[in-house]
Amino acid sequence: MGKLSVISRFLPVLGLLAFTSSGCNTVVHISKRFPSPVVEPLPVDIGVYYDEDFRSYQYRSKGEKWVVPIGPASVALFNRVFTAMFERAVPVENQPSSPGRLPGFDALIQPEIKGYEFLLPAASGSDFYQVSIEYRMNLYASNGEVIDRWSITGWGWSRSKFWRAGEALAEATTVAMRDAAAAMIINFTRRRRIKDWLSQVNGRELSDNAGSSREEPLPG
Amino acid sequence: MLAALAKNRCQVSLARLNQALRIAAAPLAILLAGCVTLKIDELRQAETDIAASEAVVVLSRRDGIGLQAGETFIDCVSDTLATGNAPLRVVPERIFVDRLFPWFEPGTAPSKIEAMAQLLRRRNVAEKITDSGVRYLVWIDGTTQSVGGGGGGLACAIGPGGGGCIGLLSWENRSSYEASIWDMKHAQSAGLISAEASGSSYLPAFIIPIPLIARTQAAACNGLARQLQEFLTED
Repeated sequence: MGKLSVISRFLPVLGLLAFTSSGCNTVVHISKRFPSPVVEPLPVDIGVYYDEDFRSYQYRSKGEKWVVPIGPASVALFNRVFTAMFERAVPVENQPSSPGRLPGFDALIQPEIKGYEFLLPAASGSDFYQVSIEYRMNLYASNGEVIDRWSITGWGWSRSKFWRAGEALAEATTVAMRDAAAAMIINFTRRRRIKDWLSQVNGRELSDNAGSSREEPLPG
Repeated sequence: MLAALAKNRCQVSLARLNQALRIAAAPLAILLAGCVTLKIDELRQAETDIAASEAVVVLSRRDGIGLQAGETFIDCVSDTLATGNAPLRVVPERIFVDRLFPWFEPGTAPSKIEAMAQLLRRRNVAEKITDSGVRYLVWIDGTTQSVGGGGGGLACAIGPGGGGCIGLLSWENRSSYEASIWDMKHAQSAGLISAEASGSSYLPAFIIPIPLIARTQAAACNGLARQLQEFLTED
């Protein structure tokens, strides 16, 4: 009984030792809730393709201290973006480079995650978590030919939160993802190749409110 | 009977204790807070009037790491605007930014009134702003920081018999914020209000350290919000 009592005193310490020696990691929960963009949809039918790498993309830091599952949140973000940007946006299972396999669509769009990086407050010497995320957008014609390819980088930051590092990193990641999506929406119809393709498909001028078809400079 | 009497006495003494604590808390709070100097400047560029159905949104300039007013400050200004003698209807920042995605993100938000006027020419953006009831958009820029290296010294020790600290630390806090007020109805700038609060904080210690913090951010928030209220409701 006496021995048991002594052991029970050390149980919390043993528990703490077991916890710290297990090499535990922090899985950052990225919200899948994104607002619907305020844009007038472009008059085109688009197939949207997310490959398995994109859907399940996870960032793992060295030593796997941080695990950031960006894929599922990116799917949710781009579903929102494409649904608002195009008159019809439908998920497809076909590989985008398969010629002639996309009847009924004007084009197919495929986003990819090219990189994700973050800087912790301790490393930057600031009071902020800083995140950058790079997506590559691929736009294919219905015959499988590439219309355009381009990269967009989003930047995000959030103030450090005492004992809530995961939450702060998630917040900075969400800001970066939204920043990238905002750049994608606003610059889409400013790209020369895309403008040419849109005029081919529709053979008409786009309205001033469609996507971001204006030639005027960005606000700001 | 005795139990009831004892309970009654206990309630009376608890009430007295509560009253005594309240009386003691006010001077204690004043004593524990450092002195703050507040300076408010206003520049009016256009007449303002706000109807009861119209609202205000307070947004943080987020175009540079570390430069933006924190969420706490924006919430503080929004909450203060919604209270007092002339309370205003305030749309929370997050709701406004989400409703107008992607036009008020850090990289896309209009930084000048000309860009805002241009943005308002987009029919769907103008409709969203009208639906939200927002008449005035208030951009807040600024930060709170400790200035100077601080002074004094503090030493703490702990031993088998206990521990304690001795010494005095002091530092200067400065909160500097500026609010740009944009009229959404006329797509014009209505004016600027700036608030600068500064004060010294102290940490004297004789066994136990007692922080005397100058709450400059709270003073700047309160001063800025009250001036904004006056600015927007003035006939």
